[in-house]
This record gives sequence, structure tokens and C-alpha cells, in this order.
Amino acid sequence: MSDDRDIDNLLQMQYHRSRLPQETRAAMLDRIVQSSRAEPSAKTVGKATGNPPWLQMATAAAMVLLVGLILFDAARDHKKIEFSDHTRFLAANFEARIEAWPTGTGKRYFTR
Amino acid sequence: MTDEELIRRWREKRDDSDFRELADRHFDQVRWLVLCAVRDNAMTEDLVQEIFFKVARKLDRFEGKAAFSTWLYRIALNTVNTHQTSRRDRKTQPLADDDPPQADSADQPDRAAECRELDAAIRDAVRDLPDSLRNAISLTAMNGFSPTEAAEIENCTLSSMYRRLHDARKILKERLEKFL
Repeated sequence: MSDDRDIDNLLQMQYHRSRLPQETRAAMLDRIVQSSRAEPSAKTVGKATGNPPWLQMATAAAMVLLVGLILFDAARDHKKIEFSDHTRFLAANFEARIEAWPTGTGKRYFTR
Repeated sequence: MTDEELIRRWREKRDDSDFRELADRHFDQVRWLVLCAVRDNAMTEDLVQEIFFKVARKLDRFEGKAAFSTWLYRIALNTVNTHQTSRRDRKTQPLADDDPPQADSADQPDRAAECRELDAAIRDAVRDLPDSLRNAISLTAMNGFSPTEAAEIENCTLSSMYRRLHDARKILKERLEKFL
């Protein structure tokens, strides 16, 4: 047990001796702060592209407007849709098949 | 002010001085952890910088489930282990050991020379330990973590940590016998 303490003391002494001189340490800390400065804020406020915030806001607004216009246009077109004969035939067949399901006679409805 | 309070303030204000304070508190211990594993002095500085860079990048995601120091040393050990693995894969060894610059060796040349010899022997002995044993001894004996905290950082059981410490001390005792 005392041997364990001797080893630990030896290691602790070396830890204290290996500390950097104050100026070197301060310079390294400066470099650490400098190199880590940009990164965290980039993730949180979206500066990763390097564009100014006003440009990012304008881009986001334009995207929202564009998507809105596309959706509005699609909704307007939706009212003009007319089902083709084929679509109506498929729908009628499907309906008939469902109706005939319990009797198992659905197949006859699949002829035009 | 605790580390966690400092982190909270840093998140609110993004003040560099808060991050600097946080790095300052743990700098020596993180550097020592790296120094125990890496022979090259310049590489030590690079790795220390990389560790704190990772910390800054991930600090927003620190949830406070474990103590900040536990979280930090886990990042530090992962970074060091990754470096060691890639170095072993490349099978490159530095030609000579670097003496790190020291704070207190200028005024007494004889004593400084003795200290350098002792330091080199200790560093070699610690560096030559297997990764798990080296991490165990540097976390507890040098960085002041309890075996429980060290087990949490290393993600192993407490009994496993005690065994690692026992093995590490046994090997170091044999290698450093003449200095004891």
C-alpha cells in the first residue's frame, strides 16, 4: 500500500514539474480560444455558409414564398382535374369488386 | 462558480472569456493526459488543441448528465486513443523523445538534470503501459479522479478499474524501482 503511494507521489511530482511555463501556457490557451471561437456559434446560428445573416433570412423568406406559390398553383389546378374514362372504369370496377366480394363473383365486373 | 454554471453562462453570452476560463481549469490535466501517451511534444500541443476544439464544438450538446470533467476526459481519451490507433496502424515511431518545456528547471542546473532524467524515465514507463492501464493510472494518480469516476470515464466496471490500477502500479514499480 505504501508502495502504491510512492508510485502515485512520483507521478504527481512529475505532473507538477511538467507544467508549461506561464507564457507558453497562456499562448496555447489563446490559440485554443481562437480556434474554437467560430465553430460553436456556426452550428447554432447557421453561419456555416459564411453568408451574412440578412442574406440567410432573405433566402429563407424567398424559399417559403416559392413553396407557397407552388402549393397555391397546385391547389388551383386541382379543381380543373377531370377524370379520364379509364380512371372512371377502374373506380367502377373496384367498387363493384368490393360489393361482390362476399359472393366471390367479382371477376365478371372486370370486363368492359 | 462550477464548470456547469460557467457553461450555462457561456451558452447565454458566447463570451470567449468564459470558454477560456473553462479551458484554463482543465488545461494542465488534459495536457498531462496527452503527454502520458504521446512522445512528440508538438503532437501533444496539437492534440490538446484538437481536444478543446472538439469540446467547443460539442459544448452546446453537453446535457449535464455526467460531470463536465467526466465528459471532457472522455473526449480527451477518445482523441488520444484514436491518435494512438492511427499511429500504430501507420507503424511510425518518432526517433527521439522530446523534452517538454518545464516551468521550474532554469535556476538549478544539477537538480534540473536529475529531474529531467527522472521525468524521462517516468514518462517512458507510463507511455509504455497498455492504453487501458495508462488511462487508469493517469486519471487517478495524476488527475485526481476517484476510481469510481475513472471507471465512469473509461466506461468499465469499478472492479475492472481497480484491477487496471493494480496492474499499472505493479508494472511501474518494477520499471521505476531505482527511483523509489
